[in-house]
Amino acid sequence: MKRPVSLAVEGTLDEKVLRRLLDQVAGERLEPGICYVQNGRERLKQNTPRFNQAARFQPFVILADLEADDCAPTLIEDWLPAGAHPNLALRIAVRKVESWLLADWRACADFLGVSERLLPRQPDNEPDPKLALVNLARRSRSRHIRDDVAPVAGSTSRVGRNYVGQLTRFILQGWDA
Amino acid sequence: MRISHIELYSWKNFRKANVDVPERVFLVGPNASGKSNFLDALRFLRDLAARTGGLQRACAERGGVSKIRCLAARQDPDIGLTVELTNGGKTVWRYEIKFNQEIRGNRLPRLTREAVFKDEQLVLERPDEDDKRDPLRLTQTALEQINLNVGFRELAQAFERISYLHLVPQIIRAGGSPGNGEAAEVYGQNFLERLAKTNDKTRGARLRRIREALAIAVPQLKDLELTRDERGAPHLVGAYKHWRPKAAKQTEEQFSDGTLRLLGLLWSLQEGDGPLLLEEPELSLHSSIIRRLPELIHRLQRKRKRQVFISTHSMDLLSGSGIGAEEILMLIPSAEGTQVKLAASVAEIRALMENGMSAAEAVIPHTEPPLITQLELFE
Repeated sequence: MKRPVSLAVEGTLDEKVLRRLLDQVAGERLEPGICYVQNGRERLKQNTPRFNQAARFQPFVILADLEADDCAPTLIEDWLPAGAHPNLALRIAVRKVESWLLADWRACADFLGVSERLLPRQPDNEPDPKLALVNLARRSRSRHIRDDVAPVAGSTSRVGRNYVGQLTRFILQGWDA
Repeated sequence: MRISHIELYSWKNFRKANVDVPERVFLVGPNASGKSNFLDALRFLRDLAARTGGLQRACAERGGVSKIRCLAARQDPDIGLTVELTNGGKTVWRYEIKFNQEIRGNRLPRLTREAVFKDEQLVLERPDEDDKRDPLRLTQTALEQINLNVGFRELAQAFERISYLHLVPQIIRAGGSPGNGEAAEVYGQNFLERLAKTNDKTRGARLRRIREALAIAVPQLKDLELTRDERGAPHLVGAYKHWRPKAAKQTEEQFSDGTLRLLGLLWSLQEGDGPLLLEEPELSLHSSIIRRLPELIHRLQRKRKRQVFISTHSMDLLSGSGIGAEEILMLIPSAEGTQVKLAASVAEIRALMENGMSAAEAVIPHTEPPLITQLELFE
């Protein structure tokens, strides 16, 4: 019998990453169900104690970005000062989930259509892995990738108009979780 | 009097549903999960009891028995509805109906059961001896017949007062000759006619309140009133403020979709006293208004103590404060038909909401189509 588990994440891409990871590491044991997509880190932080309460009834896995915080353990302490319920796992991506995508540098270079040499070998050290990814896309050989992943010049958007669509394709089809 | 309990058997999306409902009900679920069809079960009861209604007509308007029957239904060919109505917490009435269609001939809809209980005492049960002698009687409910519903006329009248609202701005604008079809009544074709038929004093008072609300939501629009054109057709006229010193007169034909829908909603909330069924009241409205709708609806209903059923897809609407998990019905489709579940019956949702999460955040994720994330790959 697989154990049902609820998920909570900042955005839709994080959901896809988390589902793939869970499938890879615990596909036989866990049955991921509902995902609470929080539209931002602040909201996820605010709701984490609530998920912690609900974990009494339903196991939870939460995936958050470390962003500019010091380190993962202090973030967990900050978000859950009273400690996590044994049914709740709060997992942190160092800086951002995008650094996990960059970490599979061969597949990522192939997906982006850039030379493998351009990919950072220590993506955890990237201060802003999302920006790094977008900047790599600007140098892509493929016009599709350039147009979809990077924003048009002068836009206030940080990403292109089909960023989620392209990255989803990579997470589901190219990326080795 | 309000509806306190609903059971559906083989009714459209629902193979079997059995829920208690409070004074205010929010229906949430993915597209095609049956939100409108759930409301339609209540409209069906209204159509049975209505002066121009009855079983035959109520079925015919829905395309016949085979269009009503749930696709997931198996052996049992009967469609069934059961509702309980309470008055101040005590169950007063229970109405049960089951029907299918004649096997031969005209294949008319035919009752297989009709029962009425008052305070748990049986008032009527069919088929009875008369029905056995004359099976044609089973093509009509007792509910629709004045000489048969004497003992439970109160119940018939309660059903008759159920009203449904799903205003479509294009239909209001088109107007036309007022008919008595569905478009006329529920989608707003005779909305203006309804306004015009209301007595002057009541209409004046209602329009005054609508003007007050519109002054906040649509401040450019002033002096809303009802007039008649040279042919006698009613029109809503407002003054639209712009940079010229004198405002321009506009009629409903120029009002925006949002203005018309808000106007229709505000009017309907001030009339009637039976259960009100609102289909996606958020359509065409700005999110700042949608967020305030649940409280606004509550304030306008408070005096009338009207029960309200609201179907919605809106995060904004459900993020309003004061919405409890006990007021939300989740419609979850499955191969066995749509399951209806009270949000408060899910411990996880209860815990999240008791700890301060809004209904929108706690409930909507549970009603997403399971494969929704695949939509990102669609091109």
